[in-house]
Amino acid sequence: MGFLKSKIHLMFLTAIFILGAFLRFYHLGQSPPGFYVDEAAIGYNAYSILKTGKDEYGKTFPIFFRSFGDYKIPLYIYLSVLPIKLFGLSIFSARFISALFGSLTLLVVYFLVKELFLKKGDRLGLLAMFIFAVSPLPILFSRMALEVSLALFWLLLALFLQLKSFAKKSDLLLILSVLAYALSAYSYHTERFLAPAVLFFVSLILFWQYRLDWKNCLVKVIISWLLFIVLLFPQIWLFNSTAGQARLKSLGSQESSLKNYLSQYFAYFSPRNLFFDPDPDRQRSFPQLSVFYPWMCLPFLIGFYLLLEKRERGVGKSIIVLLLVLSPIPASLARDPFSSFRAYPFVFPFILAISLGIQAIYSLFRKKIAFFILSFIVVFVSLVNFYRNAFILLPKERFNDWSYGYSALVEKLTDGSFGEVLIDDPLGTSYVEVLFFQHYPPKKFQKEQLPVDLKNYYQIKEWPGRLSWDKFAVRPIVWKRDIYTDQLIVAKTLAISESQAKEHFLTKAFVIIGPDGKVIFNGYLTHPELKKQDDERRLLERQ
Amino acid sequence: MLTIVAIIPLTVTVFTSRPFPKTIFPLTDPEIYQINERRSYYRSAALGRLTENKLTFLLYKYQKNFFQGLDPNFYFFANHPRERPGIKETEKFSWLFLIPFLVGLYWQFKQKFFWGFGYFILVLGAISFFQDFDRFVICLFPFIFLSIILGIWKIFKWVS
Repeated sequence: MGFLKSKIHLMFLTAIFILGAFLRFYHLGQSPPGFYVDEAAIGYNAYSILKTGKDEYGKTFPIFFRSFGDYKIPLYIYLSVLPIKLFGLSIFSARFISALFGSLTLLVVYFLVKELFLKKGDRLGLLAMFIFAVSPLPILFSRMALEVSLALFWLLLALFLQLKSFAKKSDLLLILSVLAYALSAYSYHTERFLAPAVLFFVSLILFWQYRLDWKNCLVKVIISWLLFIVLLFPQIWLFNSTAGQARLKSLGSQESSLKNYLSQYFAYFSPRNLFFDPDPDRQRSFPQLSVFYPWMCLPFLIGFYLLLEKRERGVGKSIIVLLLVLSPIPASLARDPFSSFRAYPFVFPFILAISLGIQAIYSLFRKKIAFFILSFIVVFVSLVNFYRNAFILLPKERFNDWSYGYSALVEKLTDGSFGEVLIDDPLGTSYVEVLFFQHYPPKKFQKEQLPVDLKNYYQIKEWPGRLSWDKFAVRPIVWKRDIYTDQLIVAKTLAISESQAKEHFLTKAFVIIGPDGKVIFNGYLTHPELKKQDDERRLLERQ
Repeated sequence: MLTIVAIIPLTVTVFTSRPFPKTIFPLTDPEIYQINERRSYYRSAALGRLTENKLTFLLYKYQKNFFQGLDPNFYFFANHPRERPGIKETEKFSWLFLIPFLVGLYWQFKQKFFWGFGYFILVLGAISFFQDFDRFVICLFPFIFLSIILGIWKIFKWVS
């Protein structure tokens, strides 16, 4: 009987894992539509590391990657080297690590929940794994070439190994746990602050739990903290540099009052923000889906109460409450109103609360079959809604937020029919999109750029926002100069009006069309001779 | 009994408010345009009609109001940090009452005193049908008052 049960259990585990992995890998290169500049920067720097061992600026194996005016945490870029080597430089290969670790997180969630709730961990683990597999935001964040999904994997794995190491009295597991904490801190900014805090407080909780063997526990706790500090030494060493402080300075709440911080903090517990309203950042949300599905609100409220209830105290609950309290803190100190991206580790305690709630609702049903039929309908409708948001609405309504069109643009620009090309971009960030889709040799790019002071690489503050390489230049148009040069000017629809084009003798060479059938980019050829003749004619008319 | 208690303030508020409140049901022209626009995204017209229709749109509008009413920041922080565009947000209760409110909520749940919750959900469920939802939020105040008072009482009890 036990054998049969474990077989069924394993079958469910496999099925949920396959479902979760499918939702993360299906059409990975096409949805989200386009390829955001941050993703392109990660992809191109990984390509650069693969080809030259240096980043786009020529720095050998950096600890922080300089990216536009900011610095990126390195792990995602280093790990992306392998899929880029295997599959070539593409949107799929750049997003691969996120989808892979997003899928592996499913298994970590299962084993962690099992470890946290020993008695009823098996079923609860499967339930939490399922909720994580189908929830909209974990899927979205596993489908973008950004670091949060990877960072969450390491954080949860670290927590699991830490619990196991105390339970099994294994030093090796403890070392692996600290290593995983350190890797999470090398994965994303939020975890740079969250990982030490979780390690510290969970150590204290476990020390209290195993206080009978306090001498051994104390040694373990002290060793784990020291090892963590050693592993994080490069980050600590650079903490005061521009690279270490870059994100800190760009965050920081505008209105620093207790009321403001509290409002930001409580926003992460609001059912409206968790279950209905999409994230205000259009690039990090689905058009009509929030972090979780609306129906999950009821089990969440019940589960949240069960978590806080005194009756069932234990290490599991203490750790979940700790995660619940800690995880929104870094994000709530930020300037953005509600950023599920920065507070991403908060999904784990919320998923557990939802799972506990569902379990409580299940126990209320006398006829279990009714519960399963109802659940099937609810999940089916949710998945249809997910499909609608991810594969119908997102590509049609959010493509502009995802820098759609650069792939087609680069294809047009590199077919050999154009000479010098100027891409109008006031921010200058789109250069990396062109480099990415062009597969431009990083060694050549590094040589063509103005030399960067590599000795002070982590102290650079300026970002010129104007770049040129090969026949390409990315910067804002300078009308007084650019129309007198024989070149192709690429601009978004609003940048050059029809009357401006007519006035400056710009002829349309091509257009790039978006999924809504409207023009995204216009390619204009300049005619300096005609423009000069017109200028002379006007001058004569004035005289 | 609970339904009667919930209906009284709601009926009074609805029938004394001028102009008479609009419900979410009549869809505006831009909303109908949006439905049709979204239908055109689908390759299969049948699937488009199934997922993008008046009913799903109304359900979305209803949920928008309902979840707005569930947001603690709506009552204690004038909806900060997610203020709605075009709406003048007001702070319904001082933010200092948020902690007593949460303590009061927890205590009611713990004591299995579900009358307050029942009242809140019933009234919120009813007023979510109104377009100008904000005008009827006052009907939810008795429950919030009750929770704050219970919370203050519990906190005083713990302290003493």
